Amino acid sequence: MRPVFVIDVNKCVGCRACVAACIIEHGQVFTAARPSNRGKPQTVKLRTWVEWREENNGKPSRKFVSSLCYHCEDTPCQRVCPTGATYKTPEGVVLVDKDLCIGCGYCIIACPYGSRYRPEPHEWHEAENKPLVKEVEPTTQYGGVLFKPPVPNKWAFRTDAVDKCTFCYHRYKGDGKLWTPACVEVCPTGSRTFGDLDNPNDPVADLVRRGVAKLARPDLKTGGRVYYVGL
Amino acid sequence: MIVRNTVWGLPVAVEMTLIAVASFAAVWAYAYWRRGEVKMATLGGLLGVLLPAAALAILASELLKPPTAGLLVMPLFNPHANLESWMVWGATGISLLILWSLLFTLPLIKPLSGIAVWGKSRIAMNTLGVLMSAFGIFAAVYTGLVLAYERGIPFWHSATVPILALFMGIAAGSGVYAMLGRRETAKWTALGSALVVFTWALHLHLSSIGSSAAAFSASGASADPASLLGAVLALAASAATATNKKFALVGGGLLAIVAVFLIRLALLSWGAWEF
Repeated sequence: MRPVFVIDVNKCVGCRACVAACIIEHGQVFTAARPSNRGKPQTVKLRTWVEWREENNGKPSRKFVSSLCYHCEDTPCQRVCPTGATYKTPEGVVLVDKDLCIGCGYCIIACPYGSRYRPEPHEWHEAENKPLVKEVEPTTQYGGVLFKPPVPNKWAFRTDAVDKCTFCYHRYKGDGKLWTPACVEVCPTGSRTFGDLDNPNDPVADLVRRGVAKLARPDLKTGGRVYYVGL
Repeated sequence: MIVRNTVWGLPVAVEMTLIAVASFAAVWAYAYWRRGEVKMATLGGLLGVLLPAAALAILASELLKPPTAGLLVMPLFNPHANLESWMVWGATGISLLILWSLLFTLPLIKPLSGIAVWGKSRIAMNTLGVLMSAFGIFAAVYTGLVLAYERGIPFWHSATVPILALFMGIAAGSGVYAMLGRRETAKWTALGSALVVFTWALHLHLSSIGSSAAAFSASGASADPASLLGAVLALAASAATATNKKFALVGGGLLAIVAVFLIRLALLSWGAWEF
């Protein structure tokens, strides 16, 4: 089995249900929208995120582009990881052994897609000191900290290791059958889809085989398991 | 979207500068020992122990896990250590630089010379001196290789970066002895500092005609006060240490080390990705 992710940009409405589902599934600290962080240069602080791109080719338009780890075939993050914490499963999913990761940040430097991040101590201290969901003041809407225990799994968010998308590998039962990642499960428009490249009847994999879905940055020659339609 | 690096910043710049100073201080320690100048050799040897140890301590304190987890970088302590990673070779090389420097320096310290009996063997001291120098040069180059190896950040992914790191080692390591008024090293401080400025300017130019992220970094770094001041100080250090006046040598040595730190800081802080 070779799982593949296809994102149809034309179907994405930017609701960020995928982001919320991912945060809840993996217990990530969410502080990117805190008022104190406004105006600061933002690096990616979550496993998956949605950015919008505005164009004006005679007619103004907006595209929502959601992203996650591309699970490269040729993995720069794995190559530079000094402790061997970054590894690839037989299915081609790139994961981090949270016990071995020391948080040196070399994988973040090496990743050309910004798919990894390091939890900042001030963020998790704040998160730990707040219960589950903070009741926000009306003036600081969206400025709170969302924190809850993750679905138990060894790749869940931890404050002492670099974090990244796992394709929800903890949902895989090891039986050779494709699983459904949390973000795909909740996507209301079907923009995010998940398939198996080894299954000739898989409609998602077929988009890749027919060349309808394409890699975001083929010029970087890392390959990957995340393809886009309409990018 | 271009995003600036905030992962490796000031602590890494400090750490790499300490390694740059130690690298060629260790080389000079061996050279002075060969000339029979034990005090100067002891100084370089001690710097070869203390500064890399401080650098590794800074690195370890920056980790998300307790500092002792830094040992996982060493193949000796972690069977899963990734030998493809420059960080493994760098941390191992720096640790060995500390070891060779310690073994080289102990016999030079009077009260310890009775215990460090290998100091009586010229062959043993020569071997340790060569190892210390080789690992010193490696440590200097490593601080560039670790940045240049991967292409995630185009501004760093350049052959000029390890060369710049080598010249920084020459300038800063020789600068320590120039600060003590030593003329033989002052010439190398002058040469090293001039080469740092030349290579930095070349690197900025090459980056400015590279990818958009590299051009962004080059443009930002060119206007950065740290970069500008670093280049000016390096030129001043080069001019000062090229003279034979003791006062100028002392100031020039100090300026060379400060310049290396500032240029390194600009190099790190202007690294950027294009997503």
